[in-house]
Amino acid sequence: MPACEKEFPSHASSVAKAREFVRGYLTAWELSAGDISDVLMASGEACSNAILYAASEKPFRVSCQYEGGVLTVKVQDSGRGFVLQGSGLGHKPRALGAGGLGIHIMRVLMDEVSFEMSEQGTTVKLLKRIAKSKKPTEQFQ
Amino acid sequence: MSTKEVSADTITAKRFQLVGDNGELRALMKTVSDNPILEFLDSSSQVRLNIQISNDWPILNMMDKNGNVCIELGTINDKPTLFFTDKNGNLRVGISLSRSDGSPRILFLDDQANVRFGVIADTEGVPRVIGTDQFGTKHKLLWFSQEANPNENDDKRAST
Repeated sequence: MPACEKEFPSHASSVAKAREFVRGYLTAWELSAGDISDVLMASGEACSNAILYAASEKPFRVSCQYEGGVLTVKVQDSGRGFVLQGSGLGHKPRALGAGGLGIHIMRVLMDEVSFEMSEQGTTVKLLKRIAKSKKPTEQFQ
Repeated sequence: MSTKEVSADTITAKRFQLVGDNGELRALMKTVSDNPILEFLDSSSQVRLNIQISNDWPILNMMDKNGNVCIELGTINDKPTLFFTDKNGNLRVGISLSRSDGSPRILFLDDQANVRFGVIADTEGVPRVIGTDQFGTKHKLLWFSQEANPNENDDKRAST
């Protein structure tokens, strides 16, 4: 099954829609409920950050790919991102600071979490290794 | 130190200072980068508590005797957040609500920012507890991914 990709408006209501988009892709692969739940929660955190830190009205983009037992979800926005070092609230540069627990939660739920930041935007890459891959259901083939 | 009593309906200033009996500074109200901040100092003139608005977020910080922030409480990203940080500024305990759906999460971290113990509820309210051992291996201690057997609780009650 090829990767899928979709754009969402930079609005809080898009988090739930993006989760449903990811859920639709994951359901096609008949993954375990636990794995699906992990990926959905981590994806939701990444989307929430994309809206919060993008500081832009441009849409963010979510893509999913499951290949060779590795599931990858990418969330790409057009913002400058945030500083990954430090977690203080009041004594750090808050305008760029990562204030919440979202990144920690992504890291604990996924096998790998990486960030690519450039002038064009920030891409969060969530990766989960799933040992037993199943074929996609007929509905999505 | 000479003092003068002032009476007015409104006082406008960039800075207010509260001093002790001997003139030592004990509290200060000022603006930093246009953000208001109220600081309280201990008997060693160390700031031990501040209340501020930063990025339009209300934040309360408590410091140890060396001035290191150890407790941070605020409405960060429009959600309630409580952080405990160690003397090196590392987050060690974090409690907050999810910004997107308000679900609660509690995390215990080591000094390398690894989550060693976490309690997280997802959007449906399903709880999960995860622990990470000293080797970095994650253990799903409590992970409700399947529906519970509706008869299970009845069986337990019957056996007690």
